[in-house]
Amino acid sequence: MVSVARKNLFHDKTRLAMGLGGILFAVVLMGFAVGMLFGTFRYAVELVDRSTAQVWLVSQKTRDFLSPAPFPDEVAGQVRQVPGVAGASKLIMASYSANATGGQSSPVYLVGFDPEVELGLPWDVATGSAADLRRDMTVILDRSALREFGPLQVGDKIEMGDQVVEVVGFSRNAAWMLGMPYAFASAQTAQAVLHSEGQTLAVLVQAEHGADVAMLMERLSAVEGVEVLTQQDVHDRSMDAWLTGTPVGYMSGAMVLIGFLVGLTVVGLTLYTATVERTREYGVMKAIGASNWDVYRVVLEQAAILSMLGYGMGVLGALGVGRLYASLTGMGFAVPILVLAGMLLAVLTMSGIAALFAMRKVATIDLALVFKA
Amino acid sequence: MEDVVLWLRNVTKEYGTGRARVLAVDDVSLEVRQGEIVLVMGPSGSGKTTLLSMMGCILRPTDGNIWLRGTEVSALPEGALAHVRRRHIGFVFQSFNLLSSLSVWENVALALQIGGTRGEAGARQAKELLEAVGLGDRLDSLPADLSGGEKQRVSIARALANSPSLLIGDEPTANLDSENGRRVADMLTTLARDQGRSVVIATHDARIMDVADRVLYLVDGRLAKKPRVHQG
Ligand SMILES: Nc1ncnc2c1ncn2[C@@H]1O[C@H](COP(=O)(O)OP(=O)(O)O)[C@@H](O)[C@H]1O
Ligand SMILES: [Mg+2]
Repeated sequence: MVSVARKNLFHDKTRLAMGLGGILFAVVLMGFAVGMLFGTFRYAVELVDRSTAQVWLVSQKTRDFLSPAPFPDEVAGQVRQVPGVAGASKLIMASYSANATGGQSSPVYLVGFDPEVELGLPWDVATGSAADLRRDMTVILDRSALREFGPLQVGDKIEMGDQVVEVVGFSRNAAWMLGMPYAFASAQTAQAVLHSEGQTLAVLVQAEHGADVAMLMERLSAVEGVEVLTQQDVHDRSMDAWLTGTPVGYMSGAMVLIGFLVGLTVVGLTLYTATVERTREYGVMKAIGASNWDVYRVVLEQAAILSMLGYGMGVLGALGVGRLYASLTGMGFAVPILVLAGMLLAVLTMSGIAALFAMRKVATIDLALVFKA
Repeated sequence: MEDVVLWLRNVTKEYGTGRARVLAVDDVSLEVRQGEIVLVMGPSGSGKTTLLSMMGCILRPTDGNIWLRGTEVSALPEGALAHVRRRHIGFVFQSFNLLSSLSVWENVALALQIGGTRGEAGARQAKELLEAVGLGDRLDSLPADLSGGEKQRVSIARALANSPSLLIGDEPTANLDSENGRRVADMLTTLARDQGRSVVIATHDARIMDVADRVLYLVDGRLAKKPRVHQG
């Protein structure tokens, strides 16, 4: 099989490089934008995903999951009385500036909960254990904090506002968005540091083993002033809030759009000029009996080759750039399979549109030109 | 007349309209028989290319009818004409018109592919056709690396690829020196004669007149009654 498309495409290396470059740029930009977005927001909801609580109670006044409304923490006590509840914990969260004594200051993401309740928090503990948090004014700090604080050890103290807390352990891989290290503490300690005694942002409910969660939620809905949500609800609403409530979502969207338009323009120009330049040769193919579709196939095959090569290189490029970005900034980067598929669709769409223009050119070739000297 | 391959009846072609109107071919009637080699001669602008374009089913006449092997092609839509060209007509152009990124054998194989012969069979036939025009040793060359004579021999091989009943050559020797022009004209007509194909060649080149069975003269789009018939 003689492939005119392949021969033409690889005959003109400059044009090939340009077309591939366009798609590569588009895919890297789109992949980076989306990867950054998912990478960042994945960390925003990691705590939700990691916790083993089946049911979350949040204030009915919560409009926006970026800043849930606080409510009285006695609710946790009421919830414990509800049949089918094995444990109920307050949840206090806030980013807060911390100081290693006499050293660097750096923000940490303080999370307070009830260490008596089995919640799966903190995760990946390297040194110490959640039980150590039962002692007042203690924290388990994520090791990533050591980058800012310098070499800290168990037993060392750090300042948080006007309070001093003791580090009783270290976790791994617990960084909130933008690489901010988690500091896990008891709810009491967190309230003391944040001066938010009597307030909680959520109550996490651990159902009794074998309890019917739907029925439990039904019973919990009797608690006044709160909304009863599943873990998945909390995940989805938080993700939504981050995507639509922050400029990051729109910035990524704009980058994706720019990537798509640049890719479309470059691939369009590449395919179109490649076709115009060979108008005579395509005219010759038609003169010796090729149908319009025979020649369309040449254009489409070129578009397909450009797409697949450009996409492959682009995905590798985006993952490479993402990894570099993650290691330089300590921030998250993740490209889910669905996004890979979406980008492939975007690439195929851009080269498909580009091919249409080239095909129109092919359709209107005046065959008389083959007789011109 | 069983052996008439091409029949033109009162064929006329006009370009443009109003004051820009040009009568390029004016009421031409003629027949070409199987295996016959016909030369169309005439000054520049006399309508040779226009006439050959219509014979080659690339252009439709404004008026009159054309039959190719008994089918009236002057009435067919473009899609059907492409099919007729692919099956029944071979072209040799003045400016060769080889595809520049394809090698010599691929240029011929492409024509076979368009005609429905693919893969191994196509490659083998392309090589045989090229051997017949003496280019068996240039199969993998690119057109840019060939001389004019060699390029035209490739296009002869390509023109013969789908065993056409009719070969159309528009000034096939105009871009060649006299020695190569001679060689190309001989090769084209010899192969066609061996295989029983009809040939119509438009040319200025009086030196190749002797290859023709019949010479037609075109003046201002009309066939002139110039009674000079050369036997090849
Ligand atoms: N596409 C066209 N549009 C308008 N006029 C044309 C076109 N092609 C050819 N002509 C005119 O038709 C006449 C015949 O041209 P042509 O068939 O090319 O003659 P030849 O091949 O003998 O030189 C000339 O006057 C030429 O200018
Ligand atoms: Mg001409």
